[in-house]
Formats: sequence, structure tokens, C-alpha cells
Amino acid sequence: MKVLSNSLSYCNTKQRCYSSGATRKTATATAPRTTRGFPKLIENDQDVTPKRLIDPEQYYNKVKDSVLTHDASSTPSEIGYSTVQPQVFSATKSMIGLSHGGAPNSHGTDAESFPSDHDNDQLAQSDAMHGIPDEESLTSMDGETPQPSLTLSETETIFILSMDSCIVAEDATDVETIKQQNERYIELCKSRQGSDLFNERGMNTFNSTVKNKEIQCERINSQSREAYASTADMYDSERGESKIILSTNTHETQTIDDGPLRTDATRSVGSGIDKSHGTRLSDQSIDETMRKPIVAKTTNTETELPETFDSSKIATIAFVMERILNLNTNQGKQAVYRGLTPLDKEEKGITYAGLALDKLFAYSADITSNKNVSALTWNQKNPDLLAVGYGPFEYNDQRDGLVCCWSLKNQDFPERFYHTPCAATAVAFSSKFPSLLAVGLFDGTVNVYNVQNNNDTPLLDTEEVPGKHTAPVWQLCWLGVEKSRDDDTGEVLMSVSTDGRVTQWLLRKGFESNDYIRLKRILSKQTVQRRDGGKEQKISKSENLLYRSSGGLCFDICPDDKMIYLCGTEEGLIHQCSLGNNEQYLDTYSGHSGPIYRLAWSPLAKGVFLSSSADWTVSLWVVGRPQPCITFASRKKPVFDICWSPKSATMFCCANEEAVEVWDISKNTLEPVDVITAGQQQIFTSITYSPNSECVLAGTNIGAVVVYNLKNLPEPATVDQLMEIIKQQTQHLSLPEDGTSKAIANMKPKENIPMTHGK
Amino acid sequence: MTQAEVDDTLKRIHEHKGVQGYIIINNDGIPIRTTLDAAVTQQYAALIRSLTDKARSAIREIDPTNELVFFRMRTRKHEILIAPDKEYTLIVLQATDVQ
Repeated sequence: MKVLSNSLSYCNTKQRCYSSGATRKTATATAPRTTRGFPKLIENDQDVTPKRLIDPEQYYNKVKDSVLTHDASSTPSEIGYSTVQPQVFSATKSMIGLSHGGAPNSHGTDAESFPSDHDNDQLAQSDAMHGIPDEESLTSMDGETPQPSLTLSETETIFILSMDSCIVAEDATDVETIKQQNERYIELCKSRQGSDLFNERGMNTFNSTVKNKEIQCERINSQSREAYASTADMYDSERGESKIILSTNTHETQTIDDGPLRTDATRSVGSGIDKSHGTRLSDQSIDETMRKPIVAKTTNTETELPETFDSSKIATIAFVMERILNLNTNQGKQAVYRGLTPLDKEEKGITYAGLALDKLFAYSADITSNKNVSALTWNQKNPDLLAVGYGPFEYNDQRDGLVCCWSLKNQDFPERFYHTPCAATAVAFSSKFPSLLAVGLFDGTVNVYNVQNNNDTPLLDTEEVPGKHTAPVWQLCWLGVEKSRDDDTGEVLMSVSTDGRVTQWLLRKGFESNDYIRLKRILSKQTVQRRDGGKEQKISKSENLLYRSSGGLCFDICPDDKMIYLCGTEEGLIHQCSLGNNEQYLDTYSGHSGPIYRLAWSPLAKGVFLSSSADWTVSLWVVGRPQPCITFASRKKPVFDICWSPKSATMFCCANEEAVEVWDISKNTLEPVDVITAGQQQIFTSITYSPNSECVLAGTNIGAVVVYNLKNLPEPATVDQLMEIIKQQTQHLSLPEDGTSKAIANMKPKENIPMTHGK
Repeated sequence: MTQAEVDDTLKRIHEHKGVQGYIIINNDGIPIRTTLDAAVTQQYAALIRSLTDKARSAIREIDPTNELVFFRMRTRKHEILIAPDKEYTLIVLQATDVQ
């Protein structure tokens, strides 16, 4: 048949194609390889014994020979065997084997011998295409078992039988023959069913025996584990401070059986000591209260217990606790200080009519007991911080001095305390560097402390400085100045002392001093005479060369003009001086008959100041008038300290030995508006207003600073009211000179304004 | 602060108006120092330890940059002030009917 012939020829061509130079052996020519171990099958006079797919021993030997001699006697099939990788080989073989089973049936001819050499050759040749016909690989097979590297790839499609249908045109020449052929083919297919030529034969592959095999693996444990990451944990781990400690394995296995392991947020918070926390949680389930601390001991922390307890570790919490306790007990008083309404409304029902002083509390501690309060000053930056200097005024009672910084938060113990070798007589906080505190001592030294720490040794002191004062420093003040050099701090310290010098201290590497002025003792009569003359020459020739110096006790810088300051002396004279002029006084005010303890410019009115003196009086002066405008006298005791009210122009407080007095000039110039008398044991030695509260603080000589709250304050008086009152008063004074009448004349135009009395 | 100063502070705390006593416990709830009797101390130490942890974690949950500095519980009879720290916690009892 044409088709057959085609296929045969096709096969032949295929064979020819695939023959890779090696001559083909016919089936008969080749000596059939003895298949060892297999029984021979002979069917239809043909040898159908299945051949081994791989025959390693044989091909090893044969390959060797063929390689060396290029022996044509070696079957190409063997070459094929040797060159192809075993796995690939077997795969294709099996595929082709199957197709072999199908092919003879479809052909309808005798079953060709399956493992005929033809086909084997075909196979071999086809395989040889894929194999690597490499002599090197052949030699490598020799003897040793190399480790082949396998490359698995898809083989090409191998066409064993390809009967392509062809389409013939109807008007072709051999249409008839083709049609006949087709019919014949169809008949053949039909007759195949019952024909004797065909034999249905079933196939059966060997069923391998089944054997059950049991294996047992280790039990696969499953654990459910939960974790809870709190926000704090995530934050900590991100910053590398993770303190999460997982509990140990032994405990975990227990808890799996007990119940779900619940990790609490508390486990992962805290320090490394929380390890015990974790183990605790896994030991017992829920109730912490049932746990006794003894259990904790046995887990991890045994080694830590014997450590001695170091108190300094709880410094912060002790600090905080003390203040909270203070707050608890004193909440009412502190609220009143701040101007808030206190919480508990059950106030003691003392109502005050008119202005009154109400004692709130007192800054007092054991270390300050029996120390005379000599100076009070507020911090510029923190208006709750008060610096108090302790030390007796007199020389005969010299002991160690003390400087304390008190805060509103703790009234039982100072925030800072510095012991000084002798009594502290003046304190001042710097405005430019709010943590510097200057302290003037009884022996004339000036110390500067840094209040950021509690160090007793001062930052700077004037012990070794040549310009040191030789007598007690009674007042200190920080001034802001222009920087004259680059290393200047922009601030200087000004001090006055009984040795008659008003000195400027520069804080460069150490202290450097310049004298602002040397106070010269002036005979008061001479000054009065000169006034009469209308001239201001005070200094005669003799006074230029020799002079007695008078001790300065206080000074105050004019708030309006920073170059002008007043200085009070021991002999009762007040000198008005200029910072730039260190020879002469600008003016002198005389009126007191005793040493002047305190001078104070009015913070609100211009050109008005107060002076307090040991002659039991407080005087109000106006710049330009050599005589005091108003004199206040109420008790027969020296007035140690005075302080203007920062809000009201006509109010001030003064500290007598016996009492704290509040004066309101607009109401009464003869008597104070309110008085607090000291008890038998104490005298008041200093006074100051609070900058952020309606309170007055008075220092006593037993070491307490008492805080009084001003109740029922009237509306603050204005400066105009003060000035009017002054005018009123001055009009009544006897004015002998023309100069003073000029003063009246100057004031006359203002008289037209209707005078209103104070409320 | 030196140890002496802290001891001074503790003394002042103890002598403050209304204070009934104080306890210092470490992180495991073991009292280190106390001015109250042992039974009461043990109770307070154990209970307050866990409460402090809870409070601290609550604060940190809300804002991890924050930390607990102090807290107090005011009851009818007295006020319990608790100051937790890294290693130790200070507990003070103060009577409320002082003011």
C-alpha cells in the first residue's frame, strides 16, 4: 500500500538520517546479545526476549573497545547507550516502548519483534542525537563511577509513525485510486473486529505485591502562644531599650496543659528584674493577691537581697514625696498665697474690716532656728524662690552665718542652704544669670554662689582680691552694664560697706574692683550753709586733701535713671551720686538724726524715695528738696527695713523692731493702716513684698520668715494721688528759703486740678 | 543628694503633720525599710506593687514617651501616697482629717 510503503520508506529515511556514520547492522548480522538471567521467548520464530534497557557491564567493555578502535563492529546502539545520560535514556525509552506496543497493531502486520535491532538502532540513533557524542565522557565511564551532572531537558518530539493526511483535488488524476484505498481502509477497520487475522489480547502489567509498612514519627507538638505588644514595648524596642524577658521553657510546657498562656502587659514592662514577674505569672494563674512575696524570693532574686540599701537611690522620690506632703497639709495656705480660693470652704470665720495682714505660714527649719534674718531677696527668674541671709547685725554675737533658698513648695526645709564663715548681711540674685546669688558677709567678703547645686563653696569670692571691703557689706546689687571687653559678662556687682566705699565688682576671671565713690564725711552744717548760699560747692580745699570717710549702710539705684543712685550713711545723710562721677556728690539730703538703714525709690512715682533710720522715723523725700516731705513715726524703735508696694503708689510696709506696719499715705500719714506686733520672743528685722502675690514677708530674729497675706486691699493708688498728697504736705511745711517757695510756684499750676482724697 | 541628706528628708517626712508611716519597697515588693508593723507592711507591699505596675503600664500605653512619677489614693481614713521609681517605691500614709 502506498501508505505503508510511504511509512516504510519513511522509516528507512529516518534510519538513514539518524545513522551517524556508523554502519548499521542488520538484524540477522548482529549476534544477538545474550540476555543473561532472562528466559528466552520465542514467538513466531522470532526472538522476543525482552532486552535489558541498560546493560552496564557490556557497554562498559564494548565502549572501551569502540572508543579506542572506532570499531564499526560495535553496535551503534551501544554507542547510543554509552553516550546518553541514564535518566534521560530511560525516560525516552519507556515512552518509545509504549508506542512500540501500539505501532504494530495499527499496522496490522505481524508483530514486529519488539526489541528488534532495527528499532533499537532507531532508538539508539535518536538518543544519540540528544546525547553528547563526546569521547571524553566515554573515558570517564571507565572504571570509576563519576558523579554526573544531570541536565534534564525535554527531548524533541520523536515521530515514530507519521501518516499525514493529504488532500487531493477532485479533479486529480488518481482520485479514483485514492477513493478506493480509503474505502478499503474503512472496510479493513470494520472487519478487524471479528476477523481471525486480529487477535485481541489483553495486557497486564505485573502487579507488584503490596506490602504495608507502618512508620511512626515523633509526636508533633503544637503550642499556641500569644504575645501582646504594648505601645510602650514597641516604643522601647525601637529605641533599643527592650526589656522584654520571656519566661523559661520549663514553665511554658506546664502552662500549655494548664490553659492558655496569657502574657500580661506587665510582664514586658519594667526593668530586668521583671524576669521574676514573668515566671511568677506562669507559675500561678491569675490572682496576684494570693501570691506571697516569699515565692518571688525563690525564683531569681535571691542574689540581690543581701545588698545594703543605699538611700541615695531614692533621692528623687523622697524629694517629690516631701513636697506632696507639704502640698497636702498646706494646700489652703498655698492657695491663698497664689490668690486662688482655697478648697475647703470652712474657713475660720475671721473677717477683716479694712486692710489687714493675715499670717499664712512661716519659712522656718531647724537649721535656721535662732538665726537673725538679715536680708531677703527674690529670684529674678523664679518669683517663688526667696533667698534669705541669716546673721546678726551686731558684732558682739558673731557665729557662723547661713544663706538659704526657700521655695513655696516646701516650707519646712530650704531648697538650698549654704554655710558661710561669718554672718551674711546682704544677698542679691543676678538678673542676667538667674542662678547666681551674691552674698555679702560681715567681714567684708562678697561670695557668689551658684544655686543650681548645694555646694557650700562659693563660685567666686573676694577673699584674696585687693579691693576687698574691710567692713561689713550691707547691700549688694547687680547692675547691667555695657560690655567694655569681650569677656565681660555684661553685669557688675555693686556693694556698699561701712568702710566708706561704694564699689563695683567685675566678674572676669576673678573679681576685679573699681570704686564708684568714696564716701566722704561731710559736716552737715556746712552743707546747709552752702545751700543757703544757693551754691552747690561743697568741697573746700581742705576737704580735698583730708577727709574722713563715713560708713555707707545702704544704697538704691534710681529706676528711671540708672546712673543716679542714692547712698545712705551712718551719720544720717543721704547722698545722691552718679555712677560716672566718683569725686563729688550730686546732692545731699539731711533730715535724719540717726544712721539710715534703708533707702527705697518708689517704683511707680518718679523722683520720690523713702528712707528708714534708726531714729525711729521713716521719711519721704522728693528729689530736689533737701528736706523730707513727710515723716512717719509711730513707734519708738529703729526701723530696720522698708518696702514699697509694687502696685499701689501710696502704700509701703516697714519693719520696726516691734511690729510690721502697713502704711497708706492716702489714708493716714500719722498712723499705719495696719500693724502686726511681734510677740515677746521675736523682733522683725527685714521685710519684703512678694512679687507675684499679695503677701508681705517679714524676717524675724529667731530664724523664721513669716508670710502675711494682705486682705481687703483697696484699689491701688495711682502716682498722681501720691504726688498730690506730697504737694499738700509740702505746702504745710514751713519753708524758710526762697528756693522752696520756688518749688511751690512750680507746683502752682497743678493746684488747679481738683484734689481728690484717697479712698 | 547624699545618703545623709536623703535620710534627713525621710526623717522629715516621717515627722510631717499627719504622716502615719512610710514603707520603702523594691521592685519585687519586698519591703526594705518601714516604720509600720510587719503585717501591715507586707500587705501594703504586695498589693501596692501590683497596682503600681498596672498604673505605670497604663500611662505608658497611652503615651510611651511619658512615665509615671507619682500617684495617690485618697480614702476616707487616710491618703496613700506612692512614688514609684526605677528600683524602689516609696509609700507614705497620711491621715486625711488633719486639715
